[in-house]
Amino acid sequence: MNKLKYFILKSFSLRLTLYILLTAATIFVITLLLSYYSAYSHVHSEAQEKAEVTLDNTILQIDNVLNSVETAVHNIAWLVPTALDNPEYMYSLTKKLIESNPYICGSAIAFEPFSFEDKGRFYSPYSYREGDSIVSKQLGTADYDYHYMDWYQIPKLLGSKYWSEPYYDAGGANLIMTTFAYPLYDAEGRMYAIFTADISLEWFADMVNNIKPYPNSYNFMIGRGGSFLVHRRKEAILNETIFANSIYSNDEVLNETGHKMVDGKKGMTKLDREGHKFYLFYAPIKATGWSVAVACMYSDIFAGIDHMRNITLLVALLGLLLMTLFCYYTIRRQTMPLKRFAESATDIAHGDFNAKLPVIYSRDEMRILSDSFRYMQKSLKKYIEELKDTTAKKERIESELRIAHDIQMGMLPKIFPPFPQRNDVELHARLVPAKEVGGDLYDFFINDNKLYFIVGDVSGKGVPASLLMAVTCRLFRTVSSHMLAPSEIVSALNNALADSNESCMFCTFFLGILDLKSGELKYCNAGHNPPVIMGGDGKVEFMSVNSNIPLGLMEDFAYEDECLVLEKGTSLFLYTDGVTEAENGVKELFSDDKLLHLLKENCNCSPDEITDRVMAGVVSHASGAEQSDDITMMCIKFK
Amino acid sequence: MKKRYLLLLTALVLLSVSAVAQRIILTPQWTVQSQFAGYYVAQEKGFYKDAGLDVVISHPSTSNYAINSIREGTSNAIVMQLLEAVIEIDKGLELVNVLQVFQHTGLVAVSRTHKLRTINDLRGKKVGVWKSGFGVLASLLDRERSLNISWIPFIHNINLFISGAIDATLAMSYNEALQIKAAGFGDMPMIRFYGSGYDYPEDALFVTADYYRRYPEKAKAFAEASKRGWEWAYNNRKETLEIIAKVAARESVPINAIHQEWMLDEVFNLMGEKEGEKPSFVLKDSKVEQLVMLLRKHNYIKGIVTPGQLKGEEL
Repeated sequence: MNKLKYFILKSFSLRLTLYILLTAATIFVITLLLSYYSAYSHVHSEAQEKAEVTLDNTILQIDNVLNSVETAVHNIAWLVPTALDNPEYMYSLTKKLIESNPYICGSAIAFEPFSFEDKGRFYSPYSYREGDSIVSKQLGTADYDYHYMDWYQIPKLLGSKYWSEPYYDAGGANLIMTTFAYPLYDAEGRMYAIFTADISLEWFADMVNNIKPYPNSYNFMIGRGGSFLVHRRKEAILNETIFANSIYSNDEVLNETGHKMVDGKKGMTKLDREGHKFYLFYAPIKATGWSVAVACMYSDIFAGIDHMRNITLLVALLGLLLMTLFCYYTIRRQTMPLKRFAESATDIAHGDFNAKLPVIYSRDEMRILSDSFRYMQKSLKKYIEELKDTTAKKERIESELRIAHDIQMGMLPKIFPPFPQRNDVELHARLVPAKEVGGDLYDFFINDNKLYFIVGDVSGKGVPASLLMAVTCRLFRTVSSHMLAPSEIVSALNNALADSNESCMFCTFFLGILDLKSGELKYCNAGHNPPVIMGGDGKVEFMSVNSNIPLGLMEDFAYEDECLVLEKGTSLFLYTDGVTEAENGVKELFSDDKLLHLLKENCNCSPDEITDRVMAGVVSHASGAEQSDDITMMCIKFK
Repeated sequence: MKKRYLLLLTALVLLSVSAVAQRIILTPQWTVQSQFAGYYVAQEKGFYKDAGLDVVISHPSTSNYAINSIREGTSNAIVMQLLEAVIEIDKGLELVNVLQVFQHTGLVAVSRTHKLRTINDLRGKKVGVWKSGFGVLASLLDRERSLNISWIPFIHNINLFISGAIDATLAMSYNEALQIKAAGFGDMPMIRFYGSGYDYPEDALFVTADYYRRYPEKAKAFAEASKRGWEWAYNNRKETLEIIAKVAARESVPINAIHQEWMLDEVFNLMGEKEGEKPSFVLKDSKVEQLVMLLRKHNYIKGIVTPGQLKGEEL
């Protein structure tokens, strides 16, 4: 299953084919359902009409026969009262009735007890067919007390004509008979006789059984009590009832239908019998209270549309199969270049810019894709070549910068401790450029027991700044060798830098000369951050310095010396703005306060420890943010 | 030599005459149906044969009452209602109750409309009753309560009821009541005599007093084998129905399987002392005495029929 899913997900053509198949199948199913439903309704109403018409015709024929019998009895019955003085004449009346109607096979005029003085309790002249002739006899005897027969008692009690429930002929011919009983009343309204006409139900059965709207349809007729009068199973006739069968088989629908039938209703119901579905159409025979039903099998009625549905289904399934194969083949063929494009793209990605692209002859989207691919291939090739050039250039510059860095670093004293033989001063400095080369500078040397030290920061960064830094450093060494006052040295540097400073660069600069014997510190500031002084008593503060202007901005600016005497144990911390203005991710500055706080905590440490801690503080503050400016620190401890 | 043959011949004739004399010819009240299941079972399963009995079951024709076969001497055993038997004995027909099968009456009155729900509702109504007279209990009730019911006799079907010519009909719960149910009137109110003050034991097996007097052991064995038949039927209803169908086919009587199944169940309902109990086959003296008193009161009988007389104890 997972394999199939993977295969479907992997194959675009298969997936697209499945989408198309799904859409087509949905449309097909909806269409089939709609057409099937419409055909079904049509066939259904046609079947109903067909069954009803057949049923109505049959019932009409049966009614005609029954009516003819009733009419025949009527037509002769009026003669009975006229012949009451001649009881024997009744025989000829019954004969006459039989002769008048071919359906009538027997007739009696059954009188109430003692209707005639000489006839006693039983007098019922009776004629019946025997072969081609009609014979007569007197029906009533002590053994056959007709007064209690249904055909006598029921019309008498009901006071109306009555078609008896069918019964087997006593003659033993196993014929089913019914008797039409017509009560006769005298002038006082007293019933004095019942005039009967017996008819066989065989022709009924034939008529009912001949209703054959469908090959497998079958019919039955039930009496007032639901007993079968006509049924395809002979043993059910006059022996089974629709109700007993329905109660026994727990068939509520059949039971309800039975009640509707005996109630004289006309209708249709759906039945499920022995695994087959039926439509049961039924209609009453009004005269007798019986009901005729035609059961038509679903499969018969809907055989045509079922056949059509099956063929449609088969054709559609074949169509869908063909469509699927065709779609899959076509889509696969159409999208085959995509696979080759993908392979080419992989080759290009692996650096083969001359990878062969599939040739597209069509003028569709695939062609556009091909053109785009070709263009992309060309552009990439060009770009990569340019990139190669640029990279080579960049590498060269970087290499040069690396050399420049080394040169710049080489210009700075970098052996610590620088004066191991001396115990009156301890110094440590470090410079971390933001780029390969930087504009920060520091320097120091001892001449004649005087420690000369500088910290500076050239405006800008990178190569220009580094060049000016180099110039400043060299100038400082040169100038300081023959000038003693810091202001002189600073002024000389200023004038040298200001001269022909077309690029308007400048350099903040702090110069200090510490007399290591007396502790006198002479210094001159040129726009640089004031150093921090850390007394041996733990007092940490910014030195009071004149700000002045940076070097190189204004020729002949009058710098002045400043002086301070350091106690033994005092430390000086010099730095560039790369320390205090170091930023973190949210652009917060390291700040003077933090610097002071940090120095206060570490004021008793050695200079190298102090510079390390401050550096660590700055790195921790930046917490990974890119260093934007050079960082320079110098710490001097006077002992 | 000739003499010896003659003696042998005479002995054989005498033996066969004796065998014929001992034969029991049983006439049920009606044609083949579940009401007589126990006897068919006893016959078909060989219980009669096992008891050394030669039993022939001879059904009455539809045009002749069963009792006539006793009167005419064509049979010497009969299945009939206790009440009928008491009346016949009172009239002089000597019968002995060898097995009381039903403990209750199956008499019911079924209404043709939903309105008639109690016996009193039948006041002044047209009610169907068997022409052959099974409705004595209902007539007694009519007299006792002065219901003034107009009794309409019917012969043997329920067409009178179906046609609506009567307001209600008497019926046997195991027969006509089931036919009425089968005719789609199953939901009509049914007034049962079962459990009422007019509930007397019904079907019983009788032999003629003459037979009982001559072959008391055979008569008792006949009762015992019949009882065995009923008990087997009680425990094997499906097979019993098959036996009934077989007998009916042999007798060419069309029967309805569903109707026979319903009938068999209802017959067993009437055979227990209480509903759902096993058949007890007991004839209580008190019931006989009450019945005799009631029949005397309404002049259905003139003399006294004692339980002992009924059971053949006084023979």
